[in-house]
Amino acid sequence: MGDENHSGDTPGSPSHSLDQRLTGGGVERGSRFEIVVDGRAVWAYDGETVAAALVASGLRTVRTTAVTAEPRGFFCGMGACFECVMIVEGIPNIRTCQIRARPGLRVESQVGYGRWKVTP
Amino acid sequence: MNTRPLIVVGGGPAGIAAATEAATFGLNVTILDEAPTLGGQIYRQFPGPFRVTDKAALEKEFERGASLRAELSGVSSRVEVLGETSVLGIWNGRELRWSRNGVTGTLEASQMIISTGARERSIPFPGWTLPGVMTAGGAQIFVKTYRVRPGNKALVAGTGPLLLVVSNQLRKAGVEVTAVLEAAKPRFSLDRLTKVWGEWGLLNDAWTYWRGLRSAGIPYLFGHTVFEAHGTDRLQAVTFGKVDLEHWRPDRTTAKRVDVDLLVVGFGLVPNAELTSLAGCRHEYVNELGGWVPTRDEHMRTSVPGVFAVGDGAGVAGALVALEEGRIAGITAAEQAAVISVKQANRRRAVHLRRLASLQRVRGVLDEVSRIRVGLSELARPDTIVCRCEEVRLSTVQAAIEQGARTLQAVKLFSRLGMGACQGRTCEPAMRAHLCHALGRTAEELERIYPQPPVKQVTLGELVRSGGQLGVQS
Repeated sequence: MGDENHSGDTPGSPSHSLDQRLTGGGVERGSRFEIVVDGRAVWAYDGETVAAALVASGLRTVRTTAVTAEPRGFFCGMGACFECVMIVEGIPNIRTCQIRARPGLRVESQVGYGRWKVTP
Repeated sequence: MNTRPLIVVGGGPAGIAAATEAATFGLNVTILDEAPTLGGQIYRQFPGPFRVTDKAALEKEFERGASLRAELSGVSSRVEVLGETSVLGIWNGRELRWSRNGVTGTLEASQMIISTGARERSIPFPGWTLPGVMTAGGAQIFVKTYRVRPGNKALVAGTGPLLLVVSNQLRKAGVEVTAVLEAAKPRFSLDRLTKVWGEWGLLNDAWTYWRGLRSAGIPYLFGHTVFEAHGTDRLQAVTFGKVDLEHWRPDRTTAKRVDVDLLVVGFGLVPNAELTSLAGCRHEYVNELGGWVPTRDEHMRTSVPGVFAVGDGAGVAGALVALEEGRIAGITAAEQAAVISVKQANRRRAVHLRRLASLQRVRGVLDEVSRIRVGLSELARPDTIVCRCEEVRLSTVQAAIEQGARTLQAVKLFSRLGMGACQGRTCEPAMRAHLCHALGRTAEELERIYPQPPVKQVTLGELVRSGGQLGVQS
């Protein structure tokens, strides 16, 4: 291990045995809340993107593609590649690296081009 | 129509420097950026709710970004910052369509400075679409900005100084870095190389990074690169090996396999020249600057009157060059708006023109080290997906060539390459190199996959919810 440590996880709450957040290093996070990913509660901290919260929870695959149904995850991290899109609050093709997490946000893995689950 | 005296598109180092100079001389400036706060990729800030408790523990880049922003704050009465705002396109030279919070609208500028930065150059290889394969810039954002580990055991591959930075950041974050693979094989030692990078200013802390890796016992393998990523649902292992010195052709007989859950790839940067293209600026292909770039005069003016281009988006050259270019454009914009005299402008510009000239002299070394070589095109196999969005395989591109395609546009029409959500940003640079090699044509002869508005995705609903007023709430 390097210079910094794992952050602890609270047993009994939306728990992820492998929280990949770093602690210390001169920065403190904002308040913690839950988002709902494929029906499961996942921790997020105020200021994090959905992508950051997902990576912290250990999730790597966000969707399967339309043509070959292969898995895809986070690639460029900065909004250029459109690989990390998911269905957010019923709207497909949302770049999770560009959208801020907020309490209760509903996020779903996307299959192919996704389906609208709200009226546009 | 909302008309602004000066709009700066992109709030990285070049944009901040440009806005600071123009506002200092009394011009009102509007800065648009996709991020919530200014800084660009290199001086990206922590998210607002994060609190810095110990500045000394942060990297030096944090301090550099903070001092640049402080300079802008000094003239804040004349600066309007519009964050989380995408520019979808530019029409008639200086009229732009923006999108923010689900609403779109139009702004017109008397003058415009385009400073849209660069993105990473991707090289396709078998398995590169697997979750767990990530660009160097992406890995940096997770580790540096959000302080999240993107994996537990990593291999880093590519070329250029960014590899040194990202591998060291991963190490400090507690990621086990098995090795760093640098395709180039410089004629001089890394000790000397880090000194050159340091002097060039691209990587002031190069020596510190290098020492960090050495003390952790992480091997830095020159003349090596990634051959293939393995895994079913996510990355499980990587095959890598040696490349030849001159062309970087993979030598498959040297292949080794290592189990990792993170592969970080960084093969340099390419300019984001979409908006300068849509603004109608003339472009030229300059390999050393990363690809197609707007032509400019020495005061950063493009071929379209009133439109400037500065920073990595006008040619990849790093933050120090971006700052000087931004300042020159800002001063010139003030001069053209007649808020300062020609004489004042000349005096103020002189120092930045001089600094820019001296930076250009040392950058040749960097070009030589990280210029992408043709052998990397051999990494992809016929069944390798080269266009990630449309899932186009290399074999389909080869079929297009057999059918007579001789330009990127023809390949696009045949195969859907570059027609997906990213509009070819990811696949075009590597496919240009591939086609140059396969067809024996120059980049100019291949032409480009021309950007189309909207350059960032927008829903029809957002386009309908138009006419919003920007800046009222800021």
